[in-house]
Amino acid sequence: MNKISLYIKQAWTMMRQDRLYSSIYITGTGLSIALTMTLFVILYVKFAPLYPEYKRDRTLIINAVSMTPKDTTSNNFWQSTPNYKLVEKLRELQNIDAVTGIVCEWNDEFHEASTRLSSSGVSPLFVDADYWKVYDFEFLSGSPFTSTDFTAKTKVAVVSKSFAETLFKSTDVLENKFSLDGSEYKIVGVVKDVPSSMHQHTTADLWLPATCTSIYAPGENDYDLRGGVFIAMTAKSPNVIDDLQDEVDEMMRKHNQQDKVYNHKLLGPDIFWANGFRQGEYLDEFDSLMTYGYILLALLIIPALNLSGMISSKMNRRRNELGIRKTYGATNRQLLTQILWENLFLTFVGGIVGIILSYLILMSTSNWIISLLSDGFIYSKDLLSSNLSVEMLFNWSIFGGVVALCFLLNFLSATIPAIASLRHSIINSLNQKQ
Amino acid sequence: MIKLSGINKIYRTNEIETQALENVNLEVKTGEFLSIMGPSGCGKSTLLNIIGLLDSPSSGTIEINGKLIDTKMSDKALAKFRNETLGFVFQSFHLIPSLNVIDNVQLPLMYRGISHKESIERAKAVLNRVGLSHRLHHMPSQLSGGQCQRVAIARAIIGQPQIILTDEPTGNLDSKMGTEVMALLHQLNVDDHCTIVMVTHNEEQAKQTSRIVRFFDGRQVQ
Ligand SMILES: Nc1ncnc2c1ncn2[C@@H]1O[C@H](COP(=O)(O)OP(=O)(O)OP(=O)(O)O)[C@@H](O)[C@H]1O
Ligand SMILES: [Mg+2]
Repeated sequence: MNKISLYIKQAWTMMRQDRLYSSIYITGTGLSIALTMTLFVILYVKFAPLYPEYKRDRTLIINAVSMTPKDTTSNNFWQSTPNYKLVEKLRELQNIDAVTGIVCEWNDEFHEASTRLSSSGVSPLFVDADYWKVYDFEFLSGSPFTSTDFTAKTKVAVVSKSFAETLFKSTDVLENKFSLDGSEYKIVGVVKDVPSSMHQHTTADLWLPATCTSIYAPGENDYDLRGGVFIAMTAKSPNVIDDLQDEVDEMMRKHNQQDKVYNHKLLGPDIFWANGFRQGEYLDEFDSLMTYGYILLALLIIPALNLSGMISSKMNRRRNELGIRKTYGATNRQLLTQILWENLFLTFVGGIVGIILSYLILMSTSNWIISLLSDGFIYSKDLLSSNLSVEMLFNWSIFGGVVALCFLLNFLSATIPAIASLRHSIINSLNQKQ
Repeated sequence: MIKLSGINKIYRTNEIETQALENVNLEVKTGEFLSIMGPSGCGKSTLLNIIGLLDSPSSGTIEINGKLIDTKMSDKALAKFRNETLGFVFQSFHLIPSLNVIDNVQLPLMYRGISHKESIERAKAVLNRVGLSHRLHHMPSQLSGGQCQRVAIARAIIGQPQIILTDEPTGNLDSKMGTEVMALLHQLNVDDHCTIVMVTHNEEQAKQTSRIVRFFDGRQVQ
């Protein structure tokens, strides 16, 4: 530890002695880390367990079902979101914990909520009672609506804190009423805000029983599974996801046996993170992950090469010092360790600059940056709540990520120039001859 | 203490071949203060570097302290040997510009694995001895040439080596500073029984040492 503190002390002195080098180096590292961290935060927001989607590791999604006639002479083909009948069939499965149907509004329709105090455009979600089991909403007051409310088409609502504050100028709003699209709803629960960068299945200002909307339409006939809902479900545990998928396949096989006219095929169920990469029929989540891998690699390798060049010119200027140290008993290994530590110090300063920069980038672009890398269905809504939450930006994964990144960048950029600079003989180094 | 037998050193570059040392046989006894003299380019520095294990001879053997040195020894073993047995003082001081005086001086002890606290204590003691206890936290750039050389001497002796090798230690100093540095070296030779090998161009200084060897064109002539 003594040595390391000496190395850091020297690195600090050198940083001040060679301001131009240090500032270029720190800026370079900082920018590279800022970009990588921004990408990391985007992926974190998309895939990590975050409020209210804490069960992302065992959440499965079905966004569509396709239907083709069994009569192979026909070319007909229909594809649509599924309907509530499918939700009810899924509910019977062994490995399922909870399943919900979320009515989708294709056209991003405009809804206006109003009270005596105020009115505002809002984004509602039309859901069922089990929705509250699939997701972990934090109720500040009240409770979810029930399946009785759902079947009875009771006009009740769960609203977000921001909704309450905007429309009632208060969060103490249980039992209060507001009107939405010409109907009057009673508030039964107030939940903590969902940031608009979360998945479209949870981002909303208010949640209403799906039976209250005209879009809610259970299927036409006994077998038709097409309708207007997205399906999200949780497996009993992450370990039984495969079993659950098998169960769903078996269920669909039976369904297709019973239906004499059509074959039905589900797009999914997809594991939550993989679903983010689905494009229609096409899903190759590993291929998509590789794309992120390449971006990450480019964001690291390119600056690492540049930094390598800088370090190697710096090491050239320090050849004499290396010679002196060897003369007085330093081994190549000790010198390599020293160079890596010193450089790590500069890289960490860059890392701090980088993470501050990435927060600035994320906060100033928060209304679109998270949807930047989204495929498929995901669109972002304008909510009354904020775009990002504190837990998305300030958490140990992010900080651990920066530290790991600094180590990696340091290793990539400094190792080769350091080894190269140690290859010179002592005499050469002492006399600084080429 | 030091025994060189049949040392040859040939520098080979792409076209030119330079014989810097030719069949040098030299013995230095314990406690001796030896001066090496000779015209520029005759191989004095080359010889000193070979004794200091900073460079390896093309042929010949080196024995230091009764130990036959194999210059193909591992990097680690050579480093340890230099660290424990040898102290170097160069004409151009060779202080590390980004370390302050006390950190420059304690350098050899750091590589010996001695605790920081003890290193600092010992560095203060040797700096006191070379008369620089009031400059502990100065940077090398804030010191005069003579002060730099005294720091270099402090660094050379902090590890209590048996042998001090020095290449024109007063070459960059004015005569007053030079005298001071020479006095220090004599003191180390007499009080600490250090064996000293010094390359010099200064007849006066050489005469004060116990023995002078002269080189011409890579050969020992006297
Ligand atoms: N790295 C090298 N490559 C090729 N030739 C070298 C190298 N180092 C020294 N020489 C040659 O070896 C000879 C001896 O050099 P050396 O530095 O030992 O001389 P010196 O006696 O110390 O001279 P001075 O008094 O000027 O310091 C010189 O002719 C020099 O050109
Ligand atoms: Mg010389």
